[in-house]
Amino acid sequence: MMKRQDFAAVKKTPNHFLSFVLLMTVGTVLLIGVSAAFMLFGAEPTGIQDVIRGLFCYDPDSFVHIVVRDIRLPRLLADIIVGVSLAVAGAVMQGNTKNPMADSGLMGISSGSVFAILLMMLFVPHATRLERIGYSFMGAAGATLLIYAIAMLGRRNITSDRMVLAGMAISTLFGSVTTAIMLKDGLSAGMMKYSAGSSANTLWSDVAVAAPFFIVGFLVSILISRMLTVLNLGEDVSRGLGANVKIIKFLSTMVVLVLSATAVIIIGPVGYVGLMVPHIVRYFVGTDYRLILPSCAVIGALFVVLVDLLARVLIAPLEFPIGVLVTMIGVPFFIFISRRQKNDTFAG
Amino acid sequence: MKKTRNITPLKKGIYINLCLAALLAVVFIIGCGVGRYRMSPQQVLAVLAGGGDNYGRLALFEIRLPRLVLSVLVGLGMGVSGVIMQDLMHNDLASPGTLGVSAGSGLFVTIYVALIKQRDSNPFLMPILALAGGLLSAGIIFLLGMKKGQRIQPTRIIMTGVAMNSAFGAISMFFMLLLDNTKLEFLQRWQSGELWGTEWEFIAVFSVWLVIFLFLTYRKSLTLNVINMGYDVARGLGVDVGRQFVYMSVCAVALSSSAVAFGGNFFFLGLIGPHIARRMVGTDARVLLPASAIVAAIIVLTADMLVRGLAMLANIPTGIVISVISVPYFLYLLIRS
Repeated sequence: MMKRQDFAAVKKTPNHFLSFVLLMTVGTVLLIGVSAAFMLFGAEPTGIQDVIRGLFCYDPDSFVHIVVRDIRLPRLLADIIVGVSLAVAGAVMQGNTKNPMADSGLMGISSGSVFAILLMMLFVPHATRLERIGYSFMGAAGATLLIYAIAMLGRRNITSDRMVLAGMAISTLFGSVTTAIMLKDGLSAGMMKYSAGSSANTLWSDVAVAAPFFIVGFLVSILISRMLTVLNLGEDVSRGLGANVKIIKFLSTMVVLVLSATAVIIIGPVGYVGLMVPHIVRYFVGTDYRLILPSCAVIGALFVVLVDLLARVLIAPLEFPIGVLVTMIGVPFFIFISRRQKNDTFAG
Repeated sequence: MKKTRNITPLKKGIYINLCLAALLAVVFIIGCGVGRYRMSPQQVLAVLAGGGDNYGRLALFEIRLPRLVLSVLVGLGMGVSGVIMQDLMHNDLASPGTLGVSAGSGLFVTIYVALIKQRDSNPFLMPILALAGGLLSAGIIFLLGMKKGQRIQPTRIIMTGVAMNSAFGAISMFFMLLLDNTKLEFLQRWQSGELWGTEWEFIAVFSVWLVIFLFLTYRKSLTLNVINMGYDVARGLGVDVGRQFVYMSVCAVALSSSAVAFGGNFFFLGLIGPHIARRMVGTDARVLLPASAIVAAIIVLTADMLVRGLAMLANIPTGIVISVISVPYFLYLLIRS
């Protein structure tokens, strides 16, 4: 996606570019390794030969082949899509709200999606998968609108901790209404996936429906990465540099919406990926979004696949919901970041 | 009020408290009459005075009164706990819910229901575990929120609380997935704030517990006022800040976890109650503590009345109604300050 001269510009900071290349290489190699492990290990024992045959000479009568090709592979793809989506959405959101703690899960966007999906299950029980994505998207949009409105209506720039609290409040709001409806209409069992977050039982058709949205969202994010870097210098500066701030903000918000909604539809609400991955990536590659976004994609995918592998293997044949495991990893990280934040005490 | 002279803020606060108490009584009486079997306030009073028909007596004493009394007790506990936390942290966003203390109690209760609970197990194990969980999480949050060599940083403690909140939530979620449907529904209801401990023996224990800790808290209301002026000021005035901080925190946790254990998880109650009360009576803890307690109790009573009175909301945990009402208010607070 990047043009030649862009790379030339980047080369002025060889340090970051070098670590970018390194990060991408190491990340990709690890991703391939972990994905291979993901295909190999699980409740049903499979050998390397089984996996290769299952992938390339598929025999619909063989149970092992079905496990490999119709259970593990779609799940692996789902994890990759979710990892990339959440990490990129988080990075974009952190840039566009100038809030280091932004994350689609923490800001309540996922809970908006879940709420909308629940409403759909209630009123349009036979909705197609495509419609389901539509509802998920609308829910995400509603929650995003709320959180952005709160950020903008404040008298002064809202501090990141207040933003987190606002996100928590919005999650609670959607969450409690969701619970109310679940309890009233006995949907508890069916909705548990959407409240815990799990990529188990992902079908090929799920992946197929989500993939186009994911690809478009991701490509747009790469396309606007240069503008995002400029926007990060401050709105006045970027206006002075001739950037159309409104369009960038609109596009980047749409990217966040599409990617978060796609992630929710596949796996349910999973927080913290969008918080952790961009922070780790920034530590290596600096503040240029042309470097941040691709690295986020690789590292995000690596992270989610790895965690899901652990979730399946740790207590096999049972498994952890991935959302739970991610949160357990994410919380210490969150505390670490919030301790590093400047001591902006609020005057409240 | 504005033009009358010779009225100190304290006196004004006392008057407002009396008015609030009267309002609480009115809401309580009206609340007694709401439900599938409707009673007018006169009928309610008649039954309370010992008269009335059998049907009314049954509805009132066996079903409604325990629930209403429980609502009031939960409100008192949460309201006071919220004031303490906000004063200690110098932060209007602190509360048992936002600091993650309730979530800690919640986790312990979840584990109890998932792993230990039998039909014949001691009913008081649950509140005790809730208290242990609350204290443990308060301790963890406090330790993680502190930095070595630095003084107490309220912002950091709150952020740690938010994080621990979601960690406890995630662990609870894991245990919930192991449950059968009956226990799952019990826990879901409990987590979203259902007034479930409506047995007179629960209420007796709960009220004794509350009275003890309300008394212990109220004794220190002047200390709370001083701490609210700033840690340095308090130190200058001869208050042992560290010790009082721990003392008050334990009181706050004891109050909120008992409310959580018997009543369920009322997330924003401990935040909204003190805010509304502060607008009415100011920041003097001597009048703020009771006012906040009463306001919170009125909120719970009203929400519960809606749940019992409106067919649309029937069978929904009371806490959900409170959340839906109080989240907009909370967001408004975030925007405004």
